[in-house]
Amino acid sequence: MATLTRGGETAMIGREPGFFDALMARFGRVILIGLPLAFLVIWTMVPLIWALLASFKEPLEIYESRSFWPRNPSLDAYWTVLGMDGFGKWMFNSILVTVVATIVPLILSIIAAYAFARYLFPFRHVLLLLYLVPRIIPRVSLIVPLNDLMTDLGLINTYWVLYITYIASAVPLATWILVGFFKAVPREIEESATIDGANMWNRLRYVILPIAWPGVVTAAVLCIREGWNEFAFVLALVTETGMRTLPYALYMLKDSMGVQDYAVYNAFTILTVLPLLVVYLLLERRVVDSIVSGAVK
Amino acid sequence: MAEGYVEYSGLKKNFGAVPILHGIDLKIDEGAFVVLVGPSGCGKSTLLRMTAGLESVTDGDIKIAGRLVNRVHASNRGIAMVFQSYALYPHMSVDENLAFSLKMRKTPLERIAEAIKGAAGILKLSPLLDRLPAQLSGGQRQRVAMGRALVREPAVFLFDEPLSNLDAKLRVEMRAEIKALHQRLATTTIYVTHDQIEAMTMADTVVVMHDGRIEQVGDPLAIYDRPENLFVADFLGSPAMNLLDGKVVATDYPDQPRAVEVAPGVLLPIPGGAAAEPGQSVVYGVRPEHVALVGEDAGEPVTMTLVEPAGWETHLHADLAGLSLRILSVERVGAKPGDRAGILIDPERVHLFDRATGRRL
Amino acid sequence: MSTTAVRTGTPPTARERLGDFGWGTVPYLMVIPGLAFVLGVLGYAVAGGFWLSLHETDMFLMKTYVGLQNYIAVFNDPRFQASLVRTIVFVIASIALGIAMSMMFALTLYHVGFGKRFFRGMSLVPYFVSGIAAAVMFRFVFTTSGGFVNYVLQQLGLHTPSWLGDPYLAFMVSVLANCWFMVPFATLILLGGLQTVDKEIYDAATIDGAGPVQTFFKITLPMIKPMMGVSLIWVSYISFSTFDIILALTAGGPQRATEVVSMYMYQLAFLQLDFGQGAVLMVVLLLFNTVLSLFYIYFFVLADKRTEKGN
Repeated sequence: MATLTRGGETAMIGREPGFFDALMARFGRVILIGLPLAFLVIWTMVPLIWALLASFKEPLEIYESRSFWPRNPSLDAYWTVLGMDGFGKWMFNSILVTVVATIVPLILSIIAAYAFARYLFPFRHVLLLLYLVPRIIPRVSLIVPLNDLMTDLGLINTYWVLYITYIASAVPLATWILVGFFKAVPREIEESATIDGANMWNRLRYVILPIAWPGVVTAAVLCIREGWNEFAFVLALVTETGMRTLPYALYMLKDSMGVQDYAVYNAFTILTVLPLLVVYLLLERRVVDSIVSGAVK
Repeated sequence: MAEGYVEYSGLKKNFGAVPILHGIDLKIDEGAFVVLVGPSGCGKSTLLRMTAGLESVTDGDIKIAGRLVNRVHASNRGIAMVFQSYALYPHMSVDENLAFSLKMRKTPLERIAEAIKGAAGILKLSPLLDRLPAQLSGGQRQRVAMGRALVREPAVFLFDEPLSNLDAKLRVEMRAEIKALHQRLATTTIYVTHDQIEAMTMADTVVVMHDGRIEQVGDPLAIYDRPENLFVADFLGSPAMNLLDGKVVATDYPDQPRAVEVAPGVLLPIPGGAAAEPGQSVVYGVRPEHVALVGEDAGEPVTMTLVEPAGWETHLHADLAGLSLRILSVERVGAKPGDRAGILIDPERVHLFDRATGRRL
Repeated sequence: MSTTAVRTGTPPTARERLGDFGWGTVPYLMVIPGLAFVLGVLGYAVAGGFWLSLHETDMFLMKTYVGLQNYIAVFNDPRFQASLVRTIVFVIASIALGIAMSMMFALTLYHVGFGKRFFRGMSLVPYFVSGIAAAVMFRFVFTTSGGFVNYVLQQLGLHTPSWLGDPYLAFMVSVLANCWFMVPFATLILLGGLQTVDKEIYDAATIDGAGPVQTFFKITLPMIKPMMGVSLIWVSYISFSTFDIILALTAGGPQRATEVVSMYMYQLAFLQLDFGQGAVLMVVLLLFNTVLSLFYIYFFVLADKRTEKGN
């Protein structure tokens, strides 16, 4: 048996790899990579594309489900959504809350992450842990006590309640990302800046932040994502129609619309998803690199 | 500009409970090129970083240009430092790197431009000013790091192993360049390295450090020729000095009344003036280049064990009555392992150390 | 000290002082503002949840201490028991499917020869779609008339089931929707792991005679163990706390087939206004998730340490 195998191998080595072998290797590779890749693309994009196509269709056409492409593409559904009572307010709410819940956590996190990355102070591990443990607490589980607390404080149906809760959930995320990026800036560079006469603020402004900029961008995009997509908190803490954010409004849409107008429904969905996707696509490179490099966990 | 000298008195440093420096006393003359050399962990980098103001002082004083700087911020000590990794700001172009410290000091823009022009001229950086550090070669980065130190017109230059990231050829070039720069500017320079060749070739004064203490201070060749203790003898020189344990014995030869017995029956000569009494336990030191190879029947018989021809010199390992001996010959020795030969040692080139204290006798 | 300072004539000013790298109170002042938010809101919420779970809230929002009564009531509640079992099945199914898909996608993205950046960027898109929007889209992909899946089945002349009307199928669809949302992030984490493995190790394995399958199980998997741990934490965390996806996809139905613990918690607290029992479910969710995360951290921290020693 052993000799047989050895003989076979010798034969393989001795033979010139011909055109047929190359073709088979190529074909095998196409199958092995191509099939999962096609699955990945279809799996990822179908829900989005199906919703996008439906938003251009007529309600009846959707219901009949005869064709993939819209027969008479129209933007009517979008005009309906944009003309909807409250849509502008919801969009405004989403943008406002997201902006606040991005800028404030970023500032707080940059300062805290700098301390964690550079200072050797007693209890820093404990404090960092206090920052990070909330990352493993399921946020939805907090809506019951939060609702109770915010009712007592009379903050239900205010922007403040959204700011506070969104910021609290974004700070641990941003701090975690930034500590990693700040630590990656070589200490010698900062020492050099110290000798060059830069105080802490100047070191942050001119040295640390520019070098760790991909991390700041990543943290910002992920804060925007949290703020834009947050649902559990707004569901628990807001009851007024005018205080809703887009995800909440989307959720309530099926109740508020008498007839199931799928085109409008899908157009609404696309409009809530699109702004964040644009932000992501603009900064995709940094975000993907950060996640792949293990800086976001 | 060059008015400073550096003085350490009773300088101590602990990291937590671990003592790193045990009390350093050293005076550095104005304009000197001082090299701190020692194995890693000896405290030389800590001493440099304390001078720079990057580490706090546990006890003792540091003075620069007559001013006590123990609690003076790094940027106000009149020093400039070149780091091992160069620590260039990766997001700034070369001229921005050079300008940074002056900008932090709110220097007028025309003064900055002047300083950059001057430094770039000296270091041949003028064509590279727009580039980012990532677009530079190792040697160019090294020059930018030096330029960044230069524009500040410091009283003291500090170098922390600046050449260890360069390849061998470039290291030799930059060594000469740094030395030439010092000759031109005559700024007091403290240079840390673990590389003894750098120490020997660059320094006016070498400071050999070990375990947080200064072992010996002096002119490089003087230290090489007269190491004060076993550590310095062993540390300086490549290949390293042969150090053989032995006992001083009296002999019958009138011109050599005493010798050292390093193995039963093997007597090696010692200098006439050595303060060694018969019966004393000593370490017998002789540099490989001071062991002369002669014919098999002359001198002490040895057997070759390894021959390493290096082109311009030959490193030989020989067996002397069971002891391993390094020999350096500037001739092309045609010996092969197993060959027998004889060695002669010039007694005036021998170093004797007390085995118990490690001190030179 | 003072004499030397006098001698030099220039005592260091406050600005000149060292201390930027010293200890002092500065780092605490930098860390506290963020911590105030985190502990003030999230910490309070956790503590408040425990407190609530020991109290009965009446219709005037007056609270009375009732000890473990809420816990006893919840644990004897068959609807809770069913939701707990359902959650565990949901989590296990999501982890199995999610990790398998993530691994497959990560390997694909690692080996794909063209458009690497494009496919990677595209693969992360679902991560940026809100749970509600993802659920609405999935509902629309699986809806009986007008859904994509039934459209395809219809074109192929196959039977078109009522995906969201059938309890088993609806449960399956909710697992799929959950995976759609959470797989992309896990994929990129695993891809990062694959990229850290030195290519020379694969060459060495090939020379040593290992085939592709052996290489994957004997070399790749052990070497990306830490990233595996991170993906597992992420996948379990998302699955355990899944809420918006199920709420908007099936709202727990049909016939409570998808009523997981978080759904039942919402039901209890916000629709039946039983805050005490709702808080008990919060405690359950919290404990399950914490224990699971700690297990993974233990698992992959250990793996981490071993690799460090190896280096």
